[in-house]
Amino acid sequence: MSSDVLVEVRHLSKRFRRGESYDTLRDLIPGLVRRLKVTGNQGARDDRWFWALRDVSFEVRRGEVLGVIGANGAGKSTLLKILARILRPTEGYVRVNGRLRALIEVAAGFHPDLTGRENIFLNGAILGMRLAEIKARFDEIVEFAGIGPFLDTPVKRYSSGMFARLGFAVAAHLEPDILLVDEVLAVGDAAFQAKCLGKMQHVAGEGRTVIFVSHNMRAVMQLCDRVVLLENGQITQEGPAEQVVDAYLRQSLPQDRSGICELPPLPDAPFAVHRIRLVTSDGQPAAVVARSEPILIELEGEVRQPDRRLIIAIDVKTIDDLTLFRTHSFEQNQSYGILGQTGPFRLCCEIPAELLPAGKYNVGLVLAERSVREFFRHRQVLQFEVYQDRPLRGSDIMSTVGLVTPPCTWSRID
Amino acid sequence: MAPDNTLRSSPKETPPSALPPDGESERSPQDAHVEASPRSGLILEDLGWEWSSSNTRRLVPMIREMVQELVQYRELLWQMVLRDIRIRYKQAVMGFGWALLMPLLIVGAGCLVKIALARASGDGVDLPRVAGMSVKALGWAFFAGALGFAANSLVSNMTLVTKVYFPRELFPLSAVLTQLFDTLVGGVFLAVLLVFFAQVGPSWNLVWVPFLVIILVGQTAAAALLFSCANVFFRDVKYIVQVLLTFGIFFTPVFYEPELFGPTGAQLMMLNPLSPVLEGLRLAIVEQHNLLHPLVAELNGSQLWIWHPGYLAYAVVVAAVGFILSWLIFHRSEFIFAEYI
Repeated sequence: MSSDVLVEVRHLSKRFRRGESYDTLRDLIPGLVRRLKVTGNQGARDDRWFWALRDVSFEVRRGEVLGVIGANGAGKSTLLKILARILRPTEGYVRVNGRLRALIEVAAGFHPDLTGRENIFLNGAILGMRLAEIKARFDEIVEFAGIGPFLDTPVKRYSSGMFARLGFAVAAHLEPDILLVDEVLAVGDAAFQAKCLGKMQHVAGEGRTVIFVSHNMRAVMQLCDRVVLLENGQITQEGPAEQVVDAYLRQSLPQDRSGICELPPLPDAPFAVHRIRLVTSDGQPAAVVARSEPILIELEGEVRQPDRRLIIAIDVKTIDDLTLFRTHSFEQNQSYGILGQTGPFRLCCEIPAELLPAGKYNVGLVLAERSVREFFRHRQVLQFEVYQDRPLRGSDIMSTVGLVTPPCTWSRID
Repeated sequence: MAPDNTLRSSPKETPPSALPPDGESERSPQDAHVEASPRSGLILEDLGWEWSSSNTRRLVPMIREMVQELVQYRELLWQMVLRDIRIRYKQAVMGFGWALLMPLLIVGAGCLVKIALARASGDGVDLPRVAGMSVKALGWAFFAGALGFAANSLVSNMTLVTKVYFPRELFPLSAVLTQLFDTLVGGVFLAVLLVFFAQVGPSWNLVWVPFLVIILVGQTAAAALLFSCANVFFRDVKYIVQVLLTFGIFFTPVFYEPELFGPTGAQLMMLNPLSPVLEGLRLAIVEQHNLLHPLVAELNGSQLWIWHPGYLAYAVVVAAVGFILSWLIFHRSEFIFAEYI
């Protein structure tokens, strides 16, 4: 084993107790009595434990940026907290060889009544900085956070953005050998997020070792050399970032019902869609759309080898997987060759208003080269709901409205 | 910080006395050397740490690890004390008021008790007794205040406990140190009063005061560690602490002197580890007594030990053993705090 291995984890398992635990002395005594009564029933007692991590082994070498991805509850945070020494493992071996600092919640150490200046010192110390280090970087921290004029204001008067910026600014000036990052990028506005990402890239570029836990697949691919995929407390995939992210996204679609879906990068395909999202007419992402409004599906992606035969097809289906219709990127003549140029692209597909009756729908996606091959197919990348925002006239008698309700025109012609 | 290779290599030099427990032998040979490192949660200065479930937990490395960690995090301890003091003294009036309120209340209650006792016995209220009572009241106020804040310190800092790692001892210890600062403010105030009103002059026996304060801090820290830790696991511990602090003053010689209870009673009273400390403070400051010499009174032909150096030794032993034991208990359980809190 070389000294290049900064984090070494072997056969790590962590068990948590679920269900009842006695958190007052008042409950403890009756609880113990009850426990004595069911002593014979061993099976019932084992049920109270669950394994958040099971036999996890990996190592991180100097200068490496390791991503940890996985669905909610897969054990990512548990792993991070064990590495940060907040939790102690149940079994296994962990060695951290170097100064490790964790950014799990950067503003956790702030005290609302203290000023920005006082909090920088306090939070710096909490995150593990020496007083001399904080003093040396004080000006940099203030500048990075952009809170100059409010330095001597109690942080309880800060806006939430300033608060988050100050938190990250202190954390970003830690100089650990190993940095643990958990979703810090979820704070602040887009500009600040870009700044954070830049700072992290800088840190990684300096040869610092980073372990990055995130749901943001773009950021993971951008930052990480290697990614491990956690599923139900076990590492199921480990390898180059693109490959693991790709595998994860393929199996885990759709991630949630927020109306946004991150897609696998398809490194071998001539083009890829990174992200597909549902927006309302004012551009807000939404998974619930009014019937009287058009449904806009936005696609962001990149063309690597342009070809006029590249197509993107969107299927709109009922939740029991009946395809209502398919629409694709060269349906109309003018969009033929819409993917004919190299570089990133954004497309919008509009499903007319009042076409779909109230209900839930799935969106499927196919990426292909016409009559040659298919690069990607998923039966459900998005799920959305249409609600009836205006009363349907006559709906009391005609309650079954059919699968589609296109706005048809009726007029007397006699 | 420059990497220190001697430290880093130290676990490998220790003889492989800790044999891996059953089941470990099935693992790959690559892991074998890993299991041989005998320490738990070993901290290599600021260079990292390691933990293995197969390690045996031995006392001496554990204590060394605890002390090392505390030394490593001393600046944070200071910052946390500073934080609490700053918050308390943000409004100076409130801060100093807080520092004086509790001792003043206790002294006020003590004066009432003294007057009542004096009326019952027909004697007058003598000034040295009131002065001695005030000294003891300040000591008790420190204990009660520190324990009150410390017992809740982990639970009220829940976000920190679950988000950031540093030795959790810092929470109760910083509560104790913050209270010590308050007590010093009160102490200065009291010293002025004693000099001007009770004509308590300086004497060489005042050198006992810092020593007694250290014992008092040790005992308080022991209780603080124990109760703050228990409060994580059982939330009703804080009510028990409140009750203890409310009625504890009756079992501690603050308002009265132990000799009131006769020869046996006085000695029983000294079983309360706070008693020798508070009595010692009174004797050293007000009576200007050298604590190395016993102080004996004759009562109805039998000897009454008002003071004996053994009392002091007892207090020291309770403080030291109690502190180490509570600290060990705290340290053993601190890694499950984040799961329970």
